[in-house]
Amino acid sequence: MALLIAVASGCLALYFVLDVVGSITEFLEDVAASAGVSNAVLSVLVRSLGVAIMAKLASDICKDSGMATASTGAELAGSAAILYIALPIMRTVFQMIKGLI
Amino acid sequence: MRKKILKIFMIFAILTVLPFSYAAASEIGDENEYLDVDELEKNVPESAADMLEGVDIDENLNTGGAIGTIIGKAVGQLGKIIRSTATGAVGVLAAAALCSIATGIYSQNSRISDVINLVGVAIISISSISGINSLVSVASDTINETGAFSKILLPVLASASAITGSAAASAAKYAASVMFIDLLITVGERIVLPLIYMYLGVSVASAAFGGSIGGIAKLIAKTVKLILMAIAIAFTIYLTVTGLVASSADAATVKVTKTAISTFLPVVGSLISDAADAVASGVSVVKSAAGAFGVLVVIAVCAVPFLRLAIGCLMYRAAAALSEPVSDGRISGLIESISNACGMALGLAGTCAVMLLISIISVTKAVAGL
Repeated sequence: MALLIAVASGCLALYFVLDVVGSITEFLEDVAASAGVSNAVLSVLVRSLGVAIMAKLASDICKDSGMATASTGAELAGSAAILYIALPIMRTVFQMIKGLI
Repeated sequence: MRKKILKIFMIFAILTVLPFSYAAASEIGDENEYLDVDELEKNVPESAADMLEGVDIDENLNTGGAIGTIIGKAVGQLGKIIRSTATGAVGVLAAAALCSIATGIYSQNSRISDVINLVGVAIISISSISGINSLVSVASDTINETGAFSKILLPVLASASAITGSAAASAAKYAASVMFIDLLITVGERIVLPLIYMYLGVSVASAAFGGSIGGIAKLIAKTVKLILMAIAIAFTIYLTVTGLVASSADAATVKVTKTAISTFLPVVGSLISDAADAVASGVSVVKSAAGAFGVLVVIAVCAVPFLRLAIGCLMYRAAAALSEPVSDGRISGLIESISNACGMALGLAGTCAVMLLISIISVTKAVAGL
């Protein structure tokens, strides 16, 4: 029961935050446009942030229910997802380092 | 009788010498054509031509006023320069801030924090590479322009010095100056600029993967500084040991070398005041109009690029300082490395300009009245 309440309150908090996140994302897009950062690059960072938040939530829910192993699994899955999202940028950076060195 | 003959002889001698003196004075008066000084004005680099509009090589050349005009015109472009370099720094700062928000929800040593920092390093590298490329290419263009102009300026000054009777000294000074400036440009293009890019690559790798790679980046930075100092100091020592620079110019020469080299490279704090002081003390010993014009061209060629490089360096340094309290050490360290790379490019361009100024000072030391 406690677990269900924890999950429900977490999801409710996220739901209410969605509108705020929308405004913040618009502001970030404006800043990125002024600073010359491309939207593709910014979207990688924003998506990574989203995945990090979800992974954190999942990990903490698992810890609250006493499943430490599952919590670690959730964090690993989050890390892998972020790396997958950032893969094109990583490839570009790797090529850049090769070129510079 | 003897006294009469002596008087007639002396009058005859005076009357004979006078026309030759007049002819010699006319030759000196036509020096501009004889020494290709017009060629000097025609070959002013494009980047300096606007700055030097209205400045001619003649005895009425007002060096102080011209320097003021050049600096005024450079400062007039300050707004544009700040806007263009600030966008890069702000983008980098924005990426660092977002990473810090993302990692803020995790503990310091968490796996996801490391991954997010890695993504942040990648994004900062990609965002800033085009800005850094343009700044480093500004340094490359500046050293090429000063090198090309020195090939026209130094023969004119050496010829002027030779006319006043310092043929051997002027030839030796000219040879030393050309040799060292060519050496610096070759070393700059083939060794220093690639080292700067290598420094950036190693800094990105160090920020992304950690480990002891950071030590390699520091070694590269020290190597660049040593190379530039070695060339500039060898040049100054050569001129001093061969007796080509003496007395009042020595103090100015040594001060120009020491302060310019030690301040142009990454320590940016006293950059502007020390560099201006160094140039001013050097210009004070330049006596000839052609030499003064040469100094003005060097200042005009370097003014805007130096502003761009210095402001780029300062902007990224400020971004590193602002991101340090909120983001991971690797991210703020990477931003500081970007600032250091700009500083090294500025050091290269500054060393070339300083050496050319020292050459002008030493070659024109003996010239009077051109």
